[in-house]
Amino acid sequence: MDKVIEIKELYKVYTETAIPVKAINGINLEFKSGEFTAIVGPSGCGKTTLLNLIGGLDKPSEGIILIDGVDITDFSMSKLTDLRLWNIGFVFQAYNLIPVLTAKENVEFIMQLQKKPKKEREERALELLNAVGLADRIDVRPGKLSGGQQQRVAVARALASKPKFILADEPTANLDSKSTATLLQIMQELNEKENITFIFSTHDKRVVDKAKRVITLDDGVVVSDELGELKV
Amino acid sequence: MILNIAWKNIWRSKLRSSVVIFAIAIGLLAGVFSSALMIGMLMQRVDTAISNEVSSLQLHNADFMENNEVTKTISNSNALISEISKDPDVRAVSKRITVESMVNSGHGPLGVMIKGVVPENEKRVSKIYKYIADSSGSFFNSKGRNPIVIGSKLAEKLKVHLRSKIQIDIVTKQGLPTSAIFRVAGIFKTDNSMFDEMTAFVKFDDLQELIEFDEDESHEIAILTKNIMLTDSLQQRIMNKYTNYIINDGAILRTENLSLKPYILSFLKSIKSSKSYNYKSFVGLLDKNIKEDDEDSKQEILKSCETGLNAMSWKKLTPDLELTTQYMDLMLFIYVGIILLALGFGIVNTMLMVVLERTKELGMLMAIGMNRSRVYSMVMLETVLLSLVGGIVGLLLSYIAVTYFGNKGINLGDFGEGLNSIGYSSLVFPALDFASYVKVVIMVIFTGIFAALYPAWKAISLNPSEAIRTE
Repeated sequence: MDKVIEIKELYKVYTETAIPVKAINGINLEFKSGEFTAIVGPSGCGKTTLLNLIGGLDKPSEGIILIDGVDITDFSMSKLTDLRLWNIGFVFQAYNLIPVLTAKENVEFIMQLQKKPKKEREERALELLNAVGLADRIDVRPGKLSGGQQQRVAVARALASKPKFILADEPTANLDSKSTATLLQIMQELNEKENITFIFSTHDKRVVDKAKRVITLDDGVVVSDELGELKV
Repeated sequence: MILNIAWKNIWRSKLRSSVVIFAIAIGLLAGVFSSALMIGMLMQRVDTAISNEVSSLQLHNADFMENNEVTKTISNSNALISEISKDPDVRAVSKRITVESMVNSGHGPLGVMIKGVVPENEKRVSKIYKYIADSSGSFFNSKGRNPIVIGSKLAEKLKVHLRSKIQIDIVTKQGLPTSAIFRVAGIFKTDNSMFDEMTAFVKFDDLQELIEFDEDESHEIAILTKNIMLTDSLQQRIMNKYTNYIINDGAILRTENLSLKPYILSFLKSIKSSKSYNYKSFVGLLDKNIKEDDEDSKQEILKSCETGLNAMSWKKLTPDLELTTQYMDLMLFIYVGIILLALGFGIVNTMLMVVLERTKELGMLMAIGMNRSRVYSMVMLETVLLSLVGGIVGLLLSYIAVTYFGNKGINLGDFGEGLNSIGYSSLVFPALDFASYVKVVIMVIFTGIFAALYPAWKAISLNPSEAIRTE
């Protein structure tokens, strides 16, 4: 499989505090296309920081991040924004949908940023909402959807731009068991059938159990990197 | 897309947006209505000045203007009137004899400007006859010898009533003092108490006889144009035809007293001759040889070299009004500008709250690929739209108020007397033209843009990774 992400000697030190904090302390990792990877570890171990660095939301103090073989660490802010728009899908813990737009408009929004034609946008939005089981809720605003439904819209939105991979920061943290199971099943199917690459940070054992690869961080260091059993 | 989101964002907090919209609307209503009130007042004053006092345009002997000398007359008045009446822009023309006189009723003499008018022609040029109440006589409708129509203030000062006798002392064309008894035939009361105190009308023929003028002589030809906007072009046409400019010894002597720049004086001396220029060619000559910075000098030279007829528009005859009408736009700009400035700070505050409340969402938008210029535009558009909604509501309210009171009028009651003493009516009809409403809309848009600058900058200064984590 192709290498989508390559991380070499990555460091992230926060110097704003009285004592500098090493959030990422010399990480080397590779992610291949079609992975379903969970990054786990205790709170403050650097999971979110690592996802932010991979997603170009933050800049490393040292080291290299290659996306499709291109070093993004020297990218300007606007280049990073473009990188995120065209290559990376995001799913956040708190769903973060645009409250004034309907489910369909939320999914379409990212394609509007990409200036895709209206017809293509509408077709893909309907296709994705159908894939996450929300075909009957397309014209509903986020406020009228349950947490699980909102997170499914967020997944559809993350997929809308046809990204190379999806970064999901604690996607099930706010969901009940049933919604978590549904979401996981949807993501698994997308991974299996459409070869979408998912990288999660999570505390949730249910997510870890479903992951094909589990990376454990502690104090900004990779302490284990194991291929897990996929339990369908 | 951004426009759509910006518009929907406004209505996320209906109460907050409504408060801002209401504040803008009420602020604009106050600003626009007070401007309309002032402008209406000024327009009425201009209208009154034209229709009662000075008319659109006045023609005089060019030398008369220097010190209102009785002998400086227009010698061919009737021919001139019939010629000017043919101009398509002219509504009416009337000749007048104007003399300064002393009037006496046994209660002390008062200096008054006596105007000898042809009643039927004067009624077409001036509305003064409409200001005579039924119980106060008429504008020369009654028969009888030497009728005079005076202002109410003058009547009060002279302690005279309808049909009272008053004596007028004037100087004849030959420079001899003469006097005559006139009987009050009408008393007018305008909104300008100074005019009412200083002006009296008598019949042209009566004054002509008294002052010993030839049949065709007059001091003044008053012209009313069909539209106030036509005044300047008519003035140009008349001056081209009837005004001549000669740079002779007399003119040079007069210009030497004007403290002109040396290069202008040498230029004038260099072209000294008995050649007569018309208005257009003389202005062209001055424009060519006198720098633009010396516009005031050009006007003074024009005045000094003028011969034949002088045509003066209401603007020159009432320079105070010309000045105030020039500032009407500025007044609107200042009134509405001050209000919008204050409102602008309120809008900045609201939008800063909006950015603060939506930090997480803005972070998310930037994270998923919305670039800074789009985020900036979104906040900017939201602010401008919010301001514009308030602006449109405010202008609609203003339009309704201005139209309603523009028809009905506002009686300023106790202030009325004070206003009358400076020539303004106490019943004010607010007025505002369409262009002014458009100007206010543009001002509102600019207020929105300026008010959005800081909040939009705050929005794009957010770090997406930190903003997303905001609770």
